[in-house]
Amino acid sequence: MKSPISTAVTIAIAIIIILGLLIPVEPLVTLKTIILDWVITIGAVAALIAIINLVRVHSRYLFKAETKNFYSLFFLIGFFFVLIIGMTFGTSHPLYKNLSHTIIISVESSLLGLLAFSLAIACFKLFKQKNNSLGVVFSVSTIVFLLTLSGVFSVFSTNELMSSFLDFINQIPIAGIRGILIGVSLGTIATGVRVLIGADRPYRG
Amino acid sequence: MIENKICPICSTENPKHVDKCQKCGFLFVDSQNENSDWLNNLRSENSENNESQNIDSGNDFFTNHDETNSKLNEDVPDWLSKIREKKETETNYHKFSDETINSLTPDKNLQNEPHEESQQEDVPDWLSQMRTDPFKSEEQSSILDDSDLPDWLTGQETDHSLTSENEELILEDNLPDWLSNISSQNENISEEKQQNWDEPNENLNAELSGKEDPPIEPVSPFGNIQIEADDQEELPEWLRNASSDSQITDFDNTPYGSSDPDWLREISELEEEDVVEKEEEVEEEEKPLPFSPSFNSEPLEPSEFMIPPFSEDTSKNNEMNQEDSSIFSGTINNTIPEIKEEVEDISPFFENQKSPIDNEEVTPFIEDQPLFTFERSSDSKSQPFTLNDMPDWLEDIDKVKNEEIEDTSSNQFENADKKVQPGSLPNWLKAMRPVSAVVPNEIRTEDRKKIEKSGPLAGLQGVLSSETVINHYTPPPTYASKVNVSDKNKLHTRLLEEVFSKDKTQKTKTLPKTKFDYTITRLLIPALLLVALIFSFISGSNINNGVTIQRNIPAEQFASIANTLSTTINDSPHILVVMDNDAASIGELELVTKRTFETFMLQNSWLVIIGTNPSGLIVSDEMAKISNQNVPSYNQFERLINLGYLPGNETGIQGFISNPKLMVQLLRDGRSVWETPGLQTISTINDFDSVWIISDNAESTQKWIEQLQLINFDKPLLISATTQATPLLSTYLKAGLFDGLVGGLQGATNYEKLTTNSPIFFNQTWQLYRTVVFIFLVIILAGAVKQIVESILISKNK
Repeated sequence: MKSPISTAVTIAIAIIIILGLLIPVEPLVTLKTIILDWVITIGAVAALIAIINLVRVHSRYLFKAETKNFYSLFFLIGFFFVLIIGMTFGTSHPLYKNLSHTIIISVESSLLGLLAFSLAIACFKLFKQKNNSLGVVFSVSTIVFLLTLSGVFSVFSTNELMSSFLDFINQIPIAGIRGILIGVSLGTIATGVRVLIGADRPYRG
Repeated sequence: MIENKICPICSTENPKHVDKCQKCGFLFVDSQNENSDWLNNLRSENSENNESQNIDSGNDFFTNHDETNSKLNEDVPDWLSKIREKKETETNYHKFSDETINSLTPDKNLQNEPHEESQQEDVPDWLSQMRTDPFKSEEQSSILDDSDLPDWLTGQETDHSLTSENEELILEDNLPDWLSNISSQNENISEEKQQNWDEPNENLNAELSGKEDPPIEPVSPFGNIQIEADDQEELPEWLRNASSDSQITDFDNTPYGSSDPDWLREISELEEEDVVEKEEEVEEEEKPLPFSPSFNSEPLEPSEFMIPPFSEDTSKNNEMNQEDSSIFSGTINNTIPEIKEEVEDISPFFENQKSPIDNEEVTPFIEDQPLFTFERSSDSKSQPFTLNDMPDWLEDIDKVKNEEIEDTSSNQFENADKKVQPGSLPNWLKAMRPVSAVVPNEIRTEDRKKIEKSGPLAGLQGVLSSETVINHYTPPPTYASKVNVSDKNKLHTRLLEEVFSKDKTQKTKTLPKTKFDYTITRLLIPALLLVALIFSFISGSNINNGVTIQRNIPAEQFASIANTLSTTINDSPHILVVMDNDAASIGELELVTKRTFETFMLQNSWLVIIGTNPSGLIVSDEMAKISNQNVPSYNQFERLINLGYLPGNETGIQGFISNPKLMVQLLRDGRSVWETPGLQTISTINDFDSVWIISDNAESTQKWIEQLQLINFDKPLLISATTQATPLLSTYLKAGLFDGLVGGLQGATNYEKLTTNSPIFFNQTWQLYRTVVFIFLVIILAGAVKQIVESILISKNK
């Protein structure tokens, strides 16, 4: 067995967490809480490492790569500017809040708007790419749900037959999502059991 | 007198002056020169009798050779037999080296020249003078210093220096009886003969004649022997007649031409065909075999008693040098007693032989007898010769012979012999184990018994031990890895190949992009979306009546909980706001959460914000700020507490739910979280009056729901989600895992209608949303129509 120490530690911690959840008695609860605190701390350090790696990669693109990527220059300028402002005035300062809000909201909203244009073009090329029965089914379902969400069928709310039909249409996505959730839950349980017995060791690296 | 020379090979008559046969190229050797009877002087009387018997025995000599060898071994002394045995083994190497050397010189004269020159270079002065003028006057010979000569050779030197007139007197005085008798018989030999034989044979002649009692087995030549009367009386009549009619000069002179029997003639014809091939092979083997110099391997004078050719290569035999004759002489001597016993059985073939003497023209035939020699060696048992057994006079001879051997050997091996002396071999050579050391005993035993029967090593024993060893060892077994493939497996393989082949050959059919496609995708669709956006903002307020509430996304439960929360607890509620969204969805979530924030602010609630998404946490303040604009009485800086980012995903959520004070301890300004006025009463998650989750990701919201269910969270759990996350969260709502949901713009519109009487803001946004939905429907239908038209046009073109 490879990395037996890591496997043993993982199994031991998993058992402690499960017992702390299922049997909330001391010292299992305290031990579970301490372990979870460690995990949160490690996650915070991992976030810090991710930030440092991001800066290092863009610095390499700008200074060491054969083909200079000048977009990295804007990233580095924005990063260090916000960092200096936050460290200088604090994260509660209005300048820092407005600066961060403006950058994040404008950038992410633009990306979401591009997604809307991409979806529109994809709709136009839908039958060109999927010129088969699957394309027809997908297109029909898309049109039906768009009309349903647009509220066009609300005019038929007084009609019980049409109201029942609309309720049936609205239940179809829920049924599909429930099936997906059940599958996800079973997969999560299987993965947890495999990690618990040492059959799956994703931490091996 | 015969004017022509008869070739013993092809029986062709050749002119007298030619040196080789005009038909087969056989080299003639002057029998008078080669077959000098000088050895006759050295032979004892007993040998003379045996010689005559040997001649008469003819072919029986070869057939009964084994028997004669055994009998000969009994008659000869032990020390002499050892000498012979050692000599035979060593001359085997010597013979083959000479054959290869001689093969390079087709002419015998050319062959003998370097040999004679080499001898003349290293011989003593007295001996070289004897060669140049062997019949020098006695006065001249006396000039030679006796001190330079060995004692035993003194008498011999005088013999050579004597003229023919003085020869008889000297022989009578100095030679033993048996030798004097022989010398008396040599009166008929001419001076030319003596000159010819004197050069090559002077060494051995001197050796043998210088001894008073020569212990050497008397080797009598067959020819040039005049059998004495006493001996003739013991001979049978046929032999006596033969000796009287003709002076048998040489065994080579035995009839070999027309009088040969048929079987012998066939052999000779076959041998002629092989002559050319053998010569070519010998020329290729330019490297002479090494030989160990010793007395017994010393080349001797070509004898006069050569046996008629029974070997394969007659041309080579003619070119044989003088060393080869020693082998033959030794074998002849050994066979003499046996021949003597079988004289009576001699065949009439030899009785009718015509003596070459009668023709006065003897075609000498110097023949090597490898078969003869090798048979003897094969039967003989190895009796190693030791120096202790050697007489003193032979030791002196050995020294002289060793010097001559070095002269006659090639320059290539001369240096090697000088460098590597016996007994002083280099260490690396001593460290080398012989082949016999690593060969199993059984194989070695077999190897000793084996004698080579063919090839250049024919007759040698145990020289190719490695060959036998190789035959005994088998190569290591090889294991083949084969997979048993059944017909079913083959069928499956074939089907799989067909599937992949179709996939490989199938090419994606993409139509070339046209200007119309570029115009639609890059210009028309964005322009249409932009027009819809502008139209919705302009005419939004005019279509408010068209908005209806969807029944499948109810907001009544959420609205009832949010509105009655402050009344149920009779105090400012403590609400934990979980920000689990990205900054990109802030536009939708602001609409969804705006009325909810206003509701809680109106209740003067403690809003404790914690985020599991960093960017969402940043925009949370902006969302609260927008809502705070409609509720200016709410003290955001006091009642709104931001705990920051909660890392660790599920684990962090579990940790915070289990022990909030342990997971979050400090605020962004450095204050203690749980010492602030609104959080002093909070120690666990259940101390909050409600948990409100703002999410655009159903999966992350699901984690919160599941973790809260583990601790049996009994307070209201409300969720405001985007339209994207609403369908999945609706399942949890219907399952009763949380209490209220506001999903997307439709849910927010419904919530607004339930809480306010003038939902203007949401109606304007809703109209824009519905317009864009219709535009997308048109785009999809337009793409479908375009594709159908193209398919029809393509089908028509085909």
